[in-house]
Amino acid sequence: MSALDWDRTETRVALRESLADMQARAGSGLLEHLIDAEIPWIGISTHDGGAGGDLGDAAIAVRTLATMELDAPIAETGLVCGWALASCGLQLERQLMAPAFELGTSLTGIAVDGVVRVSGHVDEVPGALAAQAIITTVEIDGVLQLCAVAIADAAVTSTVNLADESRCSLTYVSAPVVASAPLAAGLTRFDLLARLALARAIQSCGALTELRDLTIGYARTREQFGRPLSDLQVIAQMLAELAELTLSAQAAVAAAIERPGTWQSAIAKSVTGRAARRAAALAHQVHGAMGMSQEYPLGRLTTRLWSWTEEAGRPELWEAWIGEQFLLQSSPVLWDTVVNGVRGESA
Amino acid sequence: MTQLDHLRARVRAFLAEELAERRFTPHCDSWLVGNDRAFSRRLGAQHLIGLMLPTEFGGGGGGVADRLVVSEELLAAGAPVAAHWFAERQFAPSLLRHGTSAQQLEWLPRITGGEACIAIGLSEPDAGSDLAAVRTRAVASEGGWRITGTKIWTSGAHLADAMVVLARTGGERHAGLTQFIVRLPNPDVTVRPIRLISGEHHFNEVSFTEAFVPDADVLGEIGNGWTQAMQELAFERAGPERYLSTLPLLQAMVEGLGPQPADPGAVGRIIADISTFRVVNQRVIEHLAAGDTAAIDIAMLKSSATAFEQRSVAVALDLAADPGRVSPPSTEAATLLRESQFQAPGFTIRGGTNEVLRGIVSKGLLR
Repeated sequence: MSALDWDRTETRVALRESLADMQARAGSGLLEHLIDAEIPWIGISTHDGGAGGDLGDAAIAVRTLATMELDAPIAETGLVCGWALASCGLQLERQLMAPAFELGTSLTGIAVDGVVRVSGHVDEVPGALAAQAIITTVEIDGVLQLCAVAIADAAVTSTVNLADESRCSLTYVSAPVVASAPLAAGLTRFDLLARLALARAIQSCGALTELRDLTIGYARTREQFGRPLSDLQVIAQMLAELAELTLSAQAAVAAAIERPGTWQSAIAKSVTGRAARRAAALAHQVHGAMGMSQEYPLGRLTTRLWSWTEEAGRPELWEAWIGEQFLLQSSPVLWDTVVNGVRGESA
Repeated sequence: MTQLDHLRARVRAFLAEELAERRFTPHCDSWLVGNDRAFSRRLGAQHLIGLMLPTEFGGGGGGVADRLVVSEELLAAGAPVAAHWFAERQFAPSLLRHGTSAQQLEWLPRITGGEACIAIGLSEPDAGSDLAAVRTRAVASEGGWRITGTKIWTSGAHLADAMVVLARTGGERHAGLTQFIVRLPNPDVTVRPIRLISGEHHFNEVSFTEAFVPDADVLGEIGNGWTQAMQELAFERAGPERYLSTLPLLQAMVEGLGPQPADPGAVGRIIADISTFRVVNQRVIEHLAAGDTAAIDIAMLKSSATAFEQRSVAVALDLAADPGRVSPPSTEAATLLRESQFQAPGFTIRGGTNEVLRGIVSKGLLR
């Protein structure tokens, strides 16, 4: 479509095609196929127990799966939890993992005879129904540790987001920690949340691209007043705005993948979230009543976009964080911060 | 440090010295309102104009990325670049592509030296968004052409050495248009100021009464003017001046904001937006340099970026009123705010209205 449509390198186009093919063949058994193909562990080096490939490869998989009929912690396992474990020197188990990174949720831990046991409550955990372990931070003896805890040891209250994706509450009472390591130097809980935010931004980018194409397709074929909707200038202008929003999301996400870190992830979450809100509204307006039907695919995209925008820090949260980081500098200079970032974060 | 980092450091050092010597005052929209030939000459002397032009003409022999680094640093600083801006941005690439070697030899070294001030004559009283309705006519005459008609909203025509005029040499609509280099001042060309709502004079109405242009000053091929003008518009639309016009204002407003304003997110969102437009712009100009017209992407960039510029003025008003400020906005900030409020409606009009741009986008999407 547009020359800027994100990431058209050959290997990544091939990955996208093989995922689409897998979906077509597997139907409801897609998750097993993805596991067989090691998709959840792409982007983590084989040395750390992953399937190899880089963040860009993982992003392509996550972005492609974002529009498929699947509720499983694929992005959460490798791109989010796998990265956190590898950052803290922990070996990756070949299991599905669910990040409990939302702020304000935390477990308390006590070490007894060398075994750490955790208690407490974590909310809004994505993918906990399919995963084997949650990855979260626990303060143990005054040190913040990254811990894996088995989901089988939790009392699980199942809830879902707007898109019917599992977002569970888990309660632990003196459950043993499976693996733990101190949070790597320079890493905070906020940085972990930012990684989840990046995953949501990548997913949103995939959904936005499909939302744009679906809406353009509908406007071309749906006829009213004796001509396609897209012949109406007001509709054509809405389609153009939809494309602009998609472009900005693609660019912000591409930058966050090229220069990973909390700064760019925050920017990507802000830009994709803002774009998603406006784009979802435009897409529904162009579709008219049809978009409200459960049978039609639009709602599957917009409900995801609405949820992903509010999860892992809504745009306003990340914008406030960016603004605060900027203003904390002595004599803050906007332009230099745009070019170089703050506190050693790369822009 | 990469070569681009070095280049950026050179521009910043130059600007720091200019500011230390109080040689310019930062302004918003400085690429339109800041016409300062002495500044342009000093910049040219530092080899900071025409980074992407061939070295044989005094250019840097570099790529589009070099020019982007210099442009964005100058705009972010609010430096007065208008005297050479249009010459470097669109006249130079057009000369390289379509000019005769005599034209290239005459103009390109002057442009890289910061000595050439060029105005671009596209819009007419009856041809605004509908540019193909151009009526200014050029009639063949002994040894050249005689141009009659009126151009309007011509930035800096009263200060320019020449004006590139799109005129009809025959045909209808897009066919039969030709570009001419009309040297100024000219006894048969009248330049009248159009004062803006601020009272300032940047735009003009330019009337031609059988103004003679020798054959040597025809730019490109007779009848190829529309294509050439559209190529120039691509350069005009795809640049950091579409998202940095208000940066001096925003910088002035964050000064005195303190570490804990009521709404730090307002600043954060600006940083996120500008950072993202930069990414889009870098990719767009790479496509442009690779020979891709990139018309749809350029239109999307300009439309969304200029809408941001407009919104940024509203954000500046919010920042000025933020209850968490440690000190009120400076006198300079108040002046920049006032200038920006006057200029803001034009952000989404000049170089093609956002509605025209979205028309280009939707046509591309629906093709």
